[in-house]
Amino acid sequence: MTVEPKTILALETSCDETAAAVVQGGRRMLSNVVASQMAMHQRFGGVVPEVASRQHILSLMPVVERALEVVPGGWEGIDAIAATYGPGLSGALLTGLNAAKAMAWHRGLPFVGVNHLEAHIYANWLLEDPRTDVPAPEFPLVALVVSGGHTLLALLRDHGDYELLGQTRDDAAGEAFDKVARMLDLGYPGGPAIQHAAQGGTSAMTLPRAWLRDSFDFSFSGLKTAVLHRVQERRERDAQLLRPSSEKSSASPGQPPPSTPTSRPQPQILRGKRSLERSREPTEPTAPVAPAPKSALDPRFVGQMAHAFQESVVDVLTTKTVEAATRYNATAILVAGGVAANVRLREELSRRASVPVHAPSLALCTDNAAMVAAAAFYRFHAGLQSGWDLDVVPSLRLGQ
Amino acid sequence: MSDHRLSAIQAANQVDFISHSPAQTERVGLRLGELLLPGDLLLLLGTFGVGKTQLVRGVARGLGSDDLVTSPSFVLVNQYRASPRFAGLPIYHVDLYRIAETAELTTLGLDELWSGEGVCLIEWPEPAAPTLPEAYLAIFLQHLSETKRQLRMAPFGQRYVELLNAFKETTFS
Repeated sequence: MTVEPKTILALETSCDETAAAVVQGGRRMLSNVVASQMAMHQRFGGVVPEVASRQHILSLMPVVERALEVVPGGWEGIDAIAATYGPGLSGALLTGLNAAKAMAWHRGLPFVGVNHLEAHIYANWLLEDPRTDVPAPEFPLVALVVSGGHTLLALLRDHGDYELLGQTRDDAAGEAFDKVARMLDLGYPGGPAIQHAAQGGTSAMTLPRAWLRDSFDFSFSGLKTAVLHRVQERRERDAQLLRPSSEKSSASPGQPPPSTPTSRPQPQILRGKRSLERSREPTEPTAPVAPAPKSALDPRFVGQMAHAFQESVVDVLTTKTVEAATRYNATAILVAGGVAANVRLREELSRRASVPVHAPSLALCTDNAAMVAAAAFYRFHAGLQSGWDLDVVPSLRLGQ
Repeated sequence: MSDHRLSAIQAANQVDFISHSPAQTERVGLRLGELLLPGDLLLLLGTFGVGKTQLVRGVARGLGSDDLVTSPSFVLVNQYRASPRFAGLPIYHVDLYRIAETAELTTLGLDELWSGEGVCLIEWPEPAAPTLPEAYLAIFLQHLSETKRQLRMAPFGQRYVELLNAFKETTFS
């Protein structure tokens, strides 16, 4: 039996951020350094992988040095090294994993690879204030991981003993936020932009929810498409109102005005209005969707759509998570991942759940290395250690 | 997302048809998937919600894969495995939606995906246009109505003309 390494240095480079952290006993953060590339990606309107990989190489050592600055004895105070090995971008993962392995080899320290999804859950073990001693969550637990790349619900029976209860069958919740934000001409990142815009909305408008009965799986693709259709409809209407009447005729002569929504909620998603589309049944491709000149959408419409969209996502996530917690007698619900920062999701979960709902502070919801160190601690605790041959697994799943 | 090199071209031998449901789009993918060979490259062009991921799901099924097919918009690449009947071929499901500019995709090794042993399908491929091989099957998808989608398959290069001919044989005859 190896001695349990108490103080762990962890690296995280799976996507946007180059991060390093030192955590003691899986809970007490000595340092948590994140060199965000957000500003750079914001400039490009998305993650630029070339920027991501190259930037990881440039930022990694300065970030590690910063993380070690506050550790008494510096490197001497480190008992083990950890790094994320998946899931994520392979080039980005390789940078962090290889650096971590090299440092561990060089210093003769034990090394462990960590699953990024598991790490997100373990953000809930970290103490926000190192002076206090909040008790650690007790098993069994139900965890909801919601981010740009992932949406899953898991049952945690013990450290290292997970069961995947459900996951998205198409788009991740965070991805839907991002794409809908783009449709509504809101900025990047989409999550905060939607949340902000939704404050101006009311519950006058509703969007479909994909319940996928008898399953803890999720689906957000239909909701995304529903938003797209409403935005297109709106743009076409705006364009028709702006255009002189003589130009309208070519597209749709005698087309009835957009009727008031007639369809009642129907069993399948993707139902709703269709009046504008029916009159043209082209046999050859016309221009791509939304050919109308792109003018600014009415901010009130944007507010309503953002609100309806957010409510739909929050409703489905909350309902399934609360159901899972009840079914498996969870002592608490853990939320993790970037979308866990969403205020409405936190509110609604706390309101509907009969057990406590834990979510990390905003800084620990997004990618960071402290959560990797926390997960690593409990892996070592369970007697797990990685070999030097550990490779990145870009499509790693939870419990693998 | 507008690279004219990809969207303006018109190919001979193209096939157009209309899908009336996500299930039908998936079946089209399945028929296509059964005919794919190592090194094949498929580009999926079209906006949100036209069924690009649905089509890939069908292709994966056609290659005998049971893997969960989800949108790789944020993770950029999903990898699935074909069944033993297809020699366990890797299926690379790439999504360049988040790539804002034609960056050096080679840094990530993405170009290895479409020149290697596997089958490669790329959603939102526009940013990669300058680095793509000459031959591929382009599939343009677009909304006709809430449930209807138009699919246009356009072959570039002899391999894809043959692929599409075989597809027409198995699907429409």
